[in-house]
Amino acid sequence: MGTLLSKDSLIRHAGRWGLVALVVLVLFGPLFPLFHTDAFFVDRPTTVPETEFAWRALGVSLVVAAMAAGLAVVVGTCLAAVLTLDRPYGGSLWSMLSLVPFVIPPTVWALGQVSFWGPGGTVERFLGDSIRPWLNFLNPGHAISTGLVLAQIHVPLAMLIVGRGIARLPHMGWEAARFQLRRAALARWLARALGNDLVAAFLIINSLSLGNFAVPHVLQCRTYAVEIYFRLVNYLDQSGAIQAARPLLVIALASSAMALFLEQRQPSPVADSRTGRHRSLGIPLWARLAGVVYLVFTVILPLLSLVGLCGSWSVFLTVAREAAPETENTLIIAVASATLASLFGVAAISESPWERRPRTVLNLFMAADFAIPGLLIGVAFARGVGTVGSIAVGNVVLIWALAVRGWPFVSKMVDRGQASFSPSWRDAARVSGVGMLRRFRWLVVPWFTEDVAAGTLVSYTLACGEVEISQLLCAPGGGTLALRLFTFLHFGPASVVASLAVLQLILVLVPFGVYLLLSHRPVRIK
Amino acid sequence: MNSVAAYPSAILWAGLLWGVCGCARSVSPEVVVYVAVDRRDAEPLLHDFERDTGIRVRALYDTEAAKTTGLVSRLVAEQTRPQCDVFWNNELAQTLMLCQENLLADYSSSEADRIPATYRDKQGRWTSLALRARVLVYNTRYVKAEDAPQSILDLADPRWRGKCAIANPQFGTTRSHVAALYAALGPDKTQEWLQNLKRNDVRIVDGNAMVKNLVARAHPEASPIWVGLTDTDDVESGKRDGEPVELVFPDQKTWGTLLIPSTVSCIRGGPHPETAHQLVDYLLSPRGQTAFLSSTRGFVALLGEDESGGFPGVRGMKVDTEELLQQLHPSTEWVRKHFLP
Repeated sequence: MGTLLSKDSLIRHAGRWGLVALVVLVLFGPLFPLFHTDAFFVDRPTTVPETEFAWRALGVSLVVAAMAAGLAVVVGTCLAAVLTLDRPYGGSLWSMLSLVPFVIPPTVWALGQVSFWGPGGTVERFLGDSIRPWLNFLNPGHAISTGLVLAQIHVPLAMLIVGRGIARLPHMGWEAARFQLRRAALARWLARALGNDLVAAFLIINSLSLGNFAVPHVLQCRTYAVEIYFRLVNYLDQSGAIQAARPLLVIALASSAMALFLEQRQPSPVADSRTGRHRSLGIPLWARLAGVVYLVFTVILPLLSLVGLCGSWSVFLTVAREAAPETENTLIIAVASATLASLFGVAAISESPWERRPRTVLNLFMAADFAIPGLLIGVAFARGVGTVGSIAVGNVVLIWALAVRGWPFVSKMVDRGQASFSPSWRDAARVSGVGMLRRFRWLVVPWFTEDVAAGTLVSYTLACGEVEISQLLCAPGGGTLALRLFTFLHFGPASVVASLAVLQLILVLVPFGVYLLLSHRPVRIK
Repeated sequence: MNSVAAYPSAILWAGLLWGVCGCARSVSPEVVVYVAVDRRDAEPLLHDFERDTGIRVRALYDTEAAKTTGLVSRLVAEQTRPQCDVFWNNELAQTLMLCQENLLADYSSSEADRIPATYRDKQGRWTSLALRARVLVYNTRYVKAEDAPQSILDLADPRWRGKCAIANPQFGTTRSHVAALYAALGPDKTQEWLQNLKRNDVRIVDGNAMVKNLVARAHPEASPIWVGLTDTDDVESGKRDGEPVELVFPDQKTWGTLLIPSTVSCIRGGPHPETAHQLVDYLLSPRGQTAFLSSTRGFVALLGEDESGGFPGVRGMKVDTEELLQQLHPSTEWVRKHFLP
């Protein structure tokens, strides 16, 4: 036994530190240029002009992102409360619908909203365009519409973050508080109970909204991310783009550090969706209806409007046929990057929670990666790995960068499964002489499969519709479906643009539906 | 469970090795082309070339916002190790800039003999493929044909205050247009016009297609953009989609309309020179030109040396290419400093 343990221990130590080194090297090595601009990279000559700092764009971005984060947290909290504390009729369906904005590519989502609410859209066709001057007056520089769309996209993320806190409420005395405390005292109690989750959700969403390029580009809002993007794409000014990205990086890192701090201060979630079931807590009918109206008018109708814009089946099929190479490439890239992200996620998470030191290191990196916007990851890869030259040919670098983007999402999901995994099972198996491989088959695989599958799915959907990284790293001839849509966006016929968007919808929603069918469990926001 | 870490670790290291090995270049014949022409116009022709020759085309398209400038910047940045073989530009000025930077290879295609001398380089560094024009677009619901502006100077008229849009003059054909005006009218007059436009609350948007879109979707109160400056292909695509837009060839009684040739060039030191020549030959061949013109709207074939190019009855602006090139940077710098908000 002693020999076995020492051998096991040796493998364990090698695996543990090897993984930490691998994660840091592979996932964070390429992000090094974000922190060190002029170390060993020599600028190549470009036609870049000298430009002043885009204070105005930064101001617009800060306002838009704060608005988006605030709204997303409010709406996400309300939806999470309805779906978590209550058991509304058709709860699984509504839960699934509420998660849809997160899995749909931001470009497609923004197009759907424009086709429904925008000029000449479905709403105007029914109500006339007399409301447009008011909307225009209220929406200077398209900042409000950009903020609203960013909020919609991030509502599911707020639901997932705040939902964990809400799931704890019944175990913290929610029912007693509800019946005994007055309204003001109840609000204070709730603020104390959920404060950390609300702030963490706000910080993360604020950071991600600040770096979002696709939505402001579709809606023509001149945000700071657009300035960075143009700096890089129009002038290939990598050094200037990285310097310009510094404010966003500082905000992202500060947000992630703060979110991690808040997360560690609160107790682990005790309510697990696989074991816990709460009795309905009587959410008022009007609140349920408001949730349904929100989902109908922001998810169902805009997406149906987008489908209607395709014109006909023949147009859709023609567009799908023309886009077949990009569709194939998208699938390859998305599956490969999701697999890579999942492998890293599983590998990182297989470091057990009682091994505190490497776990803390990985948590820090995971939190940082979670809040860094895709645009900054793309800028860093373009600056660092892109300069290597021939390695950028093909999809390898793009897959790598997308795995960096997807990894924290996979890790978060797998982490959830690990939190409820009892170490005593492993110890019992080990003492009984069960080998490493069997322990993996009998303990790890059954427990983590669903979480890993969910994480892989999220990583896949993020990669499917990703634009910021792909635009900067895609090699000639290696475009993705999202990029094809992007190049048609402002000058392609509406039916072609809509058909490409619907094709992307199918690519992400079909695996999402298959997962829900195969997972054999209702979707619960916890 | 800790020891389980060894498995993912081994898989990841193996994957890393595979990834690095996978970077080996393909040996099948291919050509890399950077395309500034709208994707929907260029793609069918490139597919035809692929089908006819068996040569794989690896195309890189540009977004409307970064039209031309992004690809030119990329070509400049890659000059020490070119990745591109053929640059298919949608305008001339930045092709000339690449000539000046000595980034374009000499290649006189046998197919180029049919092209008028005005529209090709004597050394064979670039050849024009087709022509389009800078035009005024107006919304036919709100502007009668007889009331439409007839000169680009009319856009600065108080009548169009807050009702006019142009693309960002730092990029694309609007950049070339400003440089051409610098060359043809002189910097002072051009700057005065731009200042007047600015005072007239002109809307500056990301691309020419956006100008057409704004005009086509104009609303009298919410978005009263009734006229704009754009390219023929954008207006024609709008008309094809049933949008209420029409075009005017401006300045027919004065200096003429700026005609914009679409050019094709081989890149000096490109990785696949043989296939690059084949692609250029194909694009310039009668078959290639016919296919291109049939798949696009707003472009015309280069018919002769006269000042109309191929637009019937249109008087084109006379611009010396050397002068245009000299004015490109000064005009863009002035625009950036004094015109953009």
